[in-house]
Amino acid sequence: MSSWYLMLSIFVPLLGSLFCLVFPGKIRGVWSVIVVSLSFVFLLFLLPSIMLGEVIRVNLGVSATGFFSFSFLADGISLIFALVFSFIGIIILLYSLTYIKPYHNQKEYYFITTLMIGSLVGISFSANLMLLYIFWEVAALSAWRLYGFFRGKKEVIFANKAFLLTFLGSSFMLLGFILIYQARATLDLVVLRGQPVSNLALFFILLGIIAKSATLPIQVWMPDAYSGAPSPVCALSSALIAKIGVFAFVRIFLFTFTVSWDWILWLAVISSLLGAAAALREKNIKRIIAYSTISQIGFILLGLALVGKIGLLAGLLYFVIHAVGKTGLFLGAGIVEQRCKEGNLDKLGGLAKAMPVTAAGFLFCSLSIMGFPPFGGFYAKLMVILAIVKEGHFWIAGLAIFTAILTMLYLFRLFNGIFLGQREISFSSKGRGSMVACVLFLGIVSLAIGLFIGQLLGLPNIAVAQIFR
Amino acid sequence: MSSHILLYPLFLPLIAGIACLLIPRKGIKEGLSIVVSLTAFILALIIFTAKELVFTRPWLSILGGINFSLRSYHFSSFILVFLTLFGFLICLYSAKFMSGRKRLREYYAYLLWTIGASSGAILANNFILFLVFWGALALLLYGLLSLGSYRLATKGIFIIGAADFAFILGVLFLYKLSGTFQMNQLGPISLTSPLSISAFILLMIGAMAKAGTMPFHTWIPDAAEEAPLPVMALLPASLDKLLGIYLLSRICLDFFRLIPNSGLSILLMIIGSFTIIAAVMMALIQHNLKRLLSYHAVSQVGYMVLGIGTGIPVAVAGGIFHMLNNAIYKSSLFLGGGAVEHRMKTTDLDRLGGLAKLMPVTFITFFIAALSISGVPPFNGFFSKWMIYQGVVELGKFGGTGNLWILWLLAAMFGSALTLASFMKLVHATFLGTSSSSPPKNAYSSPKEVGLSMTIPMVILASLCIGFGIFAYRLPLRLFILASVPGIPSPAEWMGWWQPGLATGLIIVGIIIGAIIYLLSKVRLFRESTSYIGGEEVSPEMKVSGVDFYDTVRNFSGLSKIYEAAEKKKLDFYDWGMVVCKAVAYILQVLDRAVDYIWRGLAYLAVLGGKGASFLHSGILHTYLAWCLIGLILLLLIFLL
Repeated sequence: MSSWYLMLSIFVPLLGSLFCLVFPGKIRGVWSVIVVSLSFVFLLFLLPSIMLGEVIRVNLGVSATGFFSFSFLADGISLIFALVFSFIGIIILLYSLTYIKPYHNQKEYYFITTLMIGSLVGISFSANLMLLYIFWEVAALSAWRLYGFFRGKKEVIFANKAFLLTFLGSSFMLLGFILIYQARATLDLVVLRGQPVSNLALFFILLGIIAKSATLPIQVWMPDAYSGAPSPVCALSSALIAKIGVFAFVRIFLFTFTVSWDWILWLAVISSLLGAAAALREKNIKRIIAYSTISQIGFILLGLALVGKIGLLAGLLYFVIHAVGKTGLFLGAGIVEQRCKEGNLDKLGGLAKAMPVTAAGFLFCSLSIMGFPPFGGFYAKLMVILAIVKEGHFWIAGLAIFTAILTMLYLFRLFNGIFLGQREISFSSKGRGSMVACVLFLGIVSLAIGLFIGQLLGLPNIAVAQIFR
Repeated sequence: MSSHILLYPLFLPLIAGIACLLIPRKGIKEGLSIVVSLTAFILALIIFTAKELVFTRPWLSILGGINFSLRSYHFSSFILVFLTLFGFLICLYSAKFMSGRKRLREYYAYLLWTIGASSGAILANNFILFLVFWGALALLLYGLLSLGSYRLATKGIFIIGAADFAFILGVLFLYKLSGTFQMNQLGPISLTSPLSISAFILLMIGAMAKAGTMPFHTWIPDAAEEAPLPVMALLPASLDKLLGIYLLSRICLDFFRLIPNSGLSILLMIIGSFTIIAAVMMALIQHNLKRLLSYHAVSQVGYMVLGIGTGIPVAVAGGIFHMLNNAIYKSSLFLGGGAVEHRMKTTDLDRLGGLAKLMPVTFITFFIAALSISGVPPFNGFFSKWMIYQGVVELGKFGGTGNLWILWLLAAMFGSALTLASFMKLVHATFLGTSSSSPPKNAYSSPKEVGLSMTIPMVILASLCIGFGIFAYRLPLRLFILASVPGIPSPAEWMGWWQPGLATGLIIVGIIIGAIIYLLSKVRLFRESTSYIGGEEVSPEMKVSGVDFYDTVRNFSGLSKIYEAAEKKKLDFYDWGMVVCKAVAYILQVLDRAVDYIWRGLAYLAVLGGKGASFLHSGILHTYLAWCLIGLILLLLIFLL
């Protein structure tokens, strides 16, 4: 039965997305919400058996091994990622119902978004590196179309930049896969598990991951692409697409092969510092949040690259917190931008009176990402730094703390710049209840994760136990 | 007694705070907050009577050794008693003072949560749990200050938040050193390795920022002018001191072994002495009652840090005692200032004066607290300073850098004198002299004493000032403090010639004699007359306001430059920190842009390469044939040779 749920959760959104092309405009959006929600529900059905520590394997077709096969694997990690992908996907689609209304290309938008969420769920369950790569590129192509959603000249250039840079990374990754296949004659992750492979292949794979998760030195596409893309797309990209890099890191570097390169830690922390610093200087609100994403992903990689139990747990928790919080920030920024037609921090200000609920939701998400208790972000940040200190990397821990302080500075600067001070800008007074509700909901989720942290660590704990047998 | 009782002072205020936030009905929040904070106080007293209570539940056991663990023992439970007492008094005071202001629901919610979170921080026996409450306090500070202004709130949370992050790192270093998060399992760690020293300094930063020592103080004077007054009386004046100094003394006593006269000890003493002098010098020249008081709130922390920094048990106990005393008289002073503000609608010293007759209770309590903070015997402030002096003098035994004791002692005594001086100015300008010629328009035309709910807290605090001074040994020291400091010698050794009982007796005799003389003078043996001033009427311009008492100090050649810079906020360490952060951000952003340029350059090269290749494809058949021929020759050469 579980294998059916697994298949349905992947293929319902993948195939369902096609119907977005034929359905009329009114039900198209609702349809995609339903499809993604169904996927989420199927994933929830998987939860009990995974919580018992089971691992579900499904093979479509004949051979499980070899170069390519439709083989899927559901364990703790894949379920965490898939659940977050589809959950955030639902929220973003709900938000889009109102947000995307005034614009063209809606048919394409809903089709691609649903397809992308389906392929993201697919990635999290892929047990074959080739299958993973195919889903990976489907997501990349979808993202490329979505970044250029407005079809302006600048937006298209930025979308191309994002696509080409991530593709550069993923072609290296493909090269890495080929090298692994040459050496081991299989690309099945379970078969490959624990086998030694050449460092060069792993380095190539790492390049793909770095490009996708916008880490130094391939981080430059992110702020540009986000400044041109619609807000829900930014949220999708920052909370979901960039995170498949994180997922691949866990799946390939922790689950399958074990690599502990200390220089990844330095790369991650410097990337994180760089992102925070740039966010402190930027003026465009979406660029600020984009740099913040670079910075936060650095923290996630920092936790994961330690290759230890606490580090992995911290990275997983950080991933969840960041997905929730950053989506809230982007969606909040989207409301502001759509109502004021302005994204420059210098020109915005004093909106708290006009939109108090958005301000509250935005502040909650910011506080969570800054890492103040009792919000969830506190535990994530604490655990990452705890793991670093425990491994004895004191200087890296110091830099991480400095980054955390910079994070506090730029997020308060962002919040104050948008919502406080004197209002000088006119804005359309149309109420957008459902969009505001999404932001507030994400803010409350950020708080709730912190309050019930003791109970929520159950699933990540199982995931960690499955990796470090 | 069941250890569950430890949960109530935490969760009662938390739940009541949520209720305050959600229930819009008038009057409920005031009543609820008073009842709940009083309950918390009673609970704290019950906890205090128990010797030691430990409550432990597994919490984040996955991470190893992180429990939901609370512990009350001598030190923490006595802090808890005073913390809830101040909470209760402020709630009582706020009911009248805050009525009619905006965002009251938020105010009471934050107030109650602050009490709950502080209780949690004091009782926490696990560092992670402690960090949760500690960080939540920073957020609540943001909330409370935002009632004044968001600019100020941002400044406050930047300072406190940055220090909190440093503190988190310190805690983790400590964990690396000791291998446990449980506070009571931590043996004192010797300060020898670089890791332990950096852990100590990071933890110290967290504690000092909370207590408000220099250079982490700069939000306090700003807050004094903008934030509601009870917030000042609660946070910088009392609760923050209790929390910060509680933590600092635990760091120096329990977690680390601070050796007297070691480098770190001298660092602490330098910070302490500098804070005493610099803040009190700033206080001297202030023109605003609240701002002046806030500088004293900073200055007094210096004594506590100095006392604890010596590492000598007597002085450490003195520092803790001073923390308690300071919380008492400083909140009393702030509440008195609030009463003045409530009636006069201003705290500008130029526009006050002659209030002693009109508001006698406020005047007397304020005066007692002012004498107490200046260290005049027999009030409590004197006794704790006395203990600190004893410890500082004892440093001289160590020789070497120990000989610097004379510096610390001078700083402390000089600071004390300046405190007295600035309070003379303050009391004169506010309560004595003639009433101001330019009171604010919305002030009460004939100010009278404030209501009971505001005077009761002031009277309670003033009587604590007297009680803790006269019965210093019998009440606070024996009950609360001495048991918290290990290794303290018997009181006979350090009490010295100072016998509070005897001294008080002498003072009382003096007062009685004075009263007799005063009464005798009432027997009219002489004629009363207005003083003769050249036949002129006494005009309001001739009033001696007291505001300019110390303008001479300000005009000293060396000091005037410093004062000028300080008033232009050039000496604000917060601004310096921001400048550093921005400079770092600037450099790193340049790096980020440079990476972008490299990628763009590569893209440009690719395009250029494409153009070059397309140049070769000219479309002319002859050229292509020529290329083919060259290629063929090359192949031949390769394969044949």
